Amino acid sequence: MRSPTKKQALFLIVPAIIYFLIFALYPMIENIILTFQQENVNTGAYYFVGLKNYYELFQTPHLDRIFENTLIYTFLVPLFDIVLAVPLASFMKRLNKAYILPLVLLSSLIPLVTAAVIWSFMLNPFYGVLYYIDKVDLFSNPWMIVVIDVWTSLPLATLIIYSGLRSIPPAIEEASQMDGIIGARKLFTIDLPYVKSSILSATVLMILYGSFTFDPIYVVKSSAAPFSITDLAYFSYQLFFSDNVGFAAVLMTIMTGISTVIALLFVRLTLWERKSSGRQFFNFMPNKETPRYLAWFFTILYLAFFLFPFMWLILESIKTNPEIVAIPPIIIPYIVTTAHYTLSYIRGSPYFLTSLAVSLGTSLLVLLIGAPAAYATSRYRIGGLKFIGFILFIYSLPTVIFMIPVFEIVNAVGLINSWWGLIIAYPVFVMPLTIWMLYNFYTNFPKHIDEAANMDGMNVFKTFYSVILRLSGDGISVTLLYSFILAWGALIFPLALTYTPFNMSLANPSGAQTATIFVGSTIGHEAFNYGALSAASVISIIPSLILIYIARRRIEKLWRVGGNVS
Amino acid sequence: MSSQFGLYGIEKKFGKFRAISVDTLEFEDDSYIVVLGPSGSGKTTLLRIVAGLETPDRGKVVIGGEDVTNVPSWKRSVGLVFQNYALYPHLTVYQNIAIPLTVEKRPVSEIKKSVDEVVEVMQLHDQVGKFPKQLSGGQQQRVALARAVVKNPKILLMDEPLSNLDTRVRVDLRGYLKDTQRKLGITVIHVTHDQEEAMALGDSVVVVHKGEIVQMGKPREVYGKPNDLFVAGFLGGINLFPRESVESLGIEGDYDTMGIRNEDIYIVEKKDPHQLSGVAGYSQFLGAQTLLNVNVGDIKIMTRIAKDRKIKYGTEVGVILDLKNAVFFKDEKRVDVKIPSI
Ligand SMILES: Nc1ncnc2c1ncn2[C@@H]1O[C@H](COP(=O)(O)OP(=O)(O)OP(=O)(O)O)[C@@H](O)[C@H]1O
Ligand SMILES: [Mg+2]
Repeated sequence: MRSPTKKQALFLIVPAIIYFLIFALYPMIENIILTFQQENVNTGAYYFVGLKNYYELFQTPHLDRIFENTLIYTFLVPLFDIVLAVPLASFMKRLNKAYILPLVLLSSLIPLVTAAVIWSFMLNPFYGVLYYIDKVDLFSNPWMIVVIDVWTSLPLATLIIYSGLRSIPPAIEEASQMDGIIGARKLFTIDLPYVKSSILSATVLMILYGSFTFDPIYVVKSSAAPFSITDLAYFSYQLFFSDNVGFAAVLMTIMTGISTVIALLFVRLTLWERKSSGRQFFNFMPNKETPRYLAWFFTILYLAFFLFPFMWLILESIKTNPEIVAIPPIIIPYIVTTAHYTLSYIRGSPYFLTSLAVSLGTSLLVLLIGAPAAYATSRYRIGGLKFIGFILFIYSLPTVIFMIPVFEIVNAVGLINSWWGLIIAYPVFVMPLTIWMLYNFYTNFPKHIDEAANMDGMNVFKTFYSVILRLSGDGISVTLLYSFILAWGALIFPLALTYTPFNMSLANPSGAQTATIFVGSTIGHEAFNYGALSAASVISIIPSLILIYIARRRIEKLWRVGGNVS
Repeated sequence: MSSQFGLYGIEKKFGKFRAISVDTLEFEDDSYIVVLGPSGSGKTTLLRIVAGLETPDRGKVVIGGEDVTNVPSWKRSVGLVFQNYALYPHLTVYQNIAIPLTVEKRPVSEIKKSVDEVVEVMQLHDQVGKFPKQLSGGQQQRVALARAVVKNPKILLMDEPLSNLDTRVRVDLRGYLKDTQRKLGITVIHVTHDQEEAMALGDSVVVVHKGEIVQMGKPREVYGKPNDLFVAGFLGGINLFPRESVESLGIEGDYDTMGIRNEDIYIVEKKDPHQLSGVAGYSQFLGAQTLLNVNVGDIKIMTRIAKDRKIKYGTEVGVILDLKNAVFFKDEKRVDVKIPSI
């Protein structure tokens, strides 16, 4: 930290650090304090209650059910994800067609709420495809949540493993051809050991993903038996809304603890090179290249799993009401209508407008704070791996644990139920990924450019703002879009921080309920308004489609978790 | 006429660009062949065609008397050492060497015997338990070599096997490679762009230029009787005299250029008898010798002089050419010219 440039670079990272201290570190501490307190119902003031909140843990009925569900999501989702992702990734590599990846990724880039809505259409035992398979009610069954989780997270697991497989040096591929190791045996003896760190990272990420499951439960909840699908994350949210803040804080602290352990593992895996070892010889595996038609066959099956639900949703959104609720379900509508779109446009525009404004605001704010920080860390090693490790740690925490303290902060500055309230709160779950993506981007950015700028007498700020930023179009555009998508799909913060839709007055604005709330509850909870719900869901997918279209060539690099940082 | 190993009528294009074409190239058994050429000349492509990693657009590859053009790499009885070694990072040295055998499900005892043998030859006994990352470049290279030969291939292919190593190690390993080839009694095709390496190692040298074989022969032959100006220049320093400038020497014949290598030019004092006269330019002291630039009229030539000899810049000197080593060219191709005995 002695050189003057390093001191200047420090200023680039300070805003990000201050932000995380307030919106991430303070909440974690505040949660712990809250576990010893309770709220006075009349005054709203907190008072000390000792360990009372912890005792409640042992007195809550259904807590076993809640823990069981949490465990199911935490372990089954990653299990299915990895078992399904490895073959898909290797088929994709075998087929080597650039257009497959975007198709696979789509379901992971749409709002989770929308994904849950789609599957509740699909799995409706009377009106959904499920009717043709088995007329069971899965709505009170945790397996339904597992299906939604897998559908939305499998693409990410696949992407991480696929990128790993693609990064195997061509010489290694050819060496195994010379040595006569091919097909399935090559996958097991060479490829998988080679991408072991990617697989581990994917596993840990999926564990985190499963353990935070919230949005699908929120959507399916209204049709499910009490506690049948609830997990810790969702339960603590319910407690917060039933004014049992102290007990909610206990659960959040527990979650923070568990996630910290998993997260530490994740951070280690991602940032530190792992020593390889192992002698695996899968000599029983067939030593033959998978025939292309077989690879195609399975890939198409996977694609059907990923894409059929979208088709169902779109068909649903243009059916007339009688056809929507026809039994047996009508697949291709006889009469096509756009009425649902008109309706969801009229009813939904305040919500969509809010989501648009807030997502835009958030992406810009995140870029403003995150890009300089990412640049300073990657170039000047400010904070070094510690800062990046901290960023990845924040990223691995469930958003719900920030809910109560962030509510207090936003409340204290008088921004509850406003766009600005959401914009300042969102970066806590958006920015970690932004910084990580840009960190990787700048690590691969040619150094001589800033060196030349330095030689020309520019200081660190001038170098960054007038030279580097202008040349980072590639990295920044993808990052911006991705931040936008994350913000667009947010649910927990809008639930906690808003309570009315936007009043459509820019002069005297109030209200900030988002599209995810519109889709997830406002119309979702109205009986038989499936048409409008499906139309609104289709609209909520549009930003993801735009992202995929724009980033289609670089989409493989969208997410560089799992590789080792050089 | 077919020999044990050969390429016949091979051509490989990438898009419209022809990377390599070979009319006929045949090798003798158990010889050390070096393929030499500048960057981008098609050496690697040639090697990969022999290995089966690249399919030629047309032509025939023969190995061990059999046509293997459509046989996959691992059934061709060839071993390949990659330029960056391409060892499997997750396997130990032993496993890396053994893998071509384990894949064939040979009995464990047989595998062990074969691996121990090559480990012995490559002097790797202390390293077998280590992972590639824990080895030096030279050691990794020997492991790669061991893996390539463990199946007793008929041909061993090496693509720039020494270029990733320090100069010193490189020279040591040359001797090692040659020894190994003798010990194993195997045919080696070694690709390089380093002409010194080519001459030091090759029983024969194949010079490749712009996707074509321009000369093949023993190192001395290629050095002393280059087929054209490109080969002449690529194999070592040579000075070219347009015919007009050496008319005074009275060499008859149909040529337009005379070439003389640096070491075949002697510099004497102006007052001594000489053939041409010139003016000394800058000299470069290289340790074992000194290179001296001399301007003969408007021709710049370069010559070697004894390391301790100093000739001041601008001194007028006499130049003597060792004409029995001169080569002659017409339209860039070598022509035979009779040198009058003096
Ligand atoms: N897969 C490929 N696609 C397109 N062009 C290629 C491919 N492989 C090689 N080439 C081209 O063919 C030519 C010969 O390449 P090759 O690798 O054989 O050269 P080389 O003699 O080995 O060069 P170097 O000494 O640089 O390794 C080059 O111009 C190269 O650009
Ligand atoms: Mg090459």
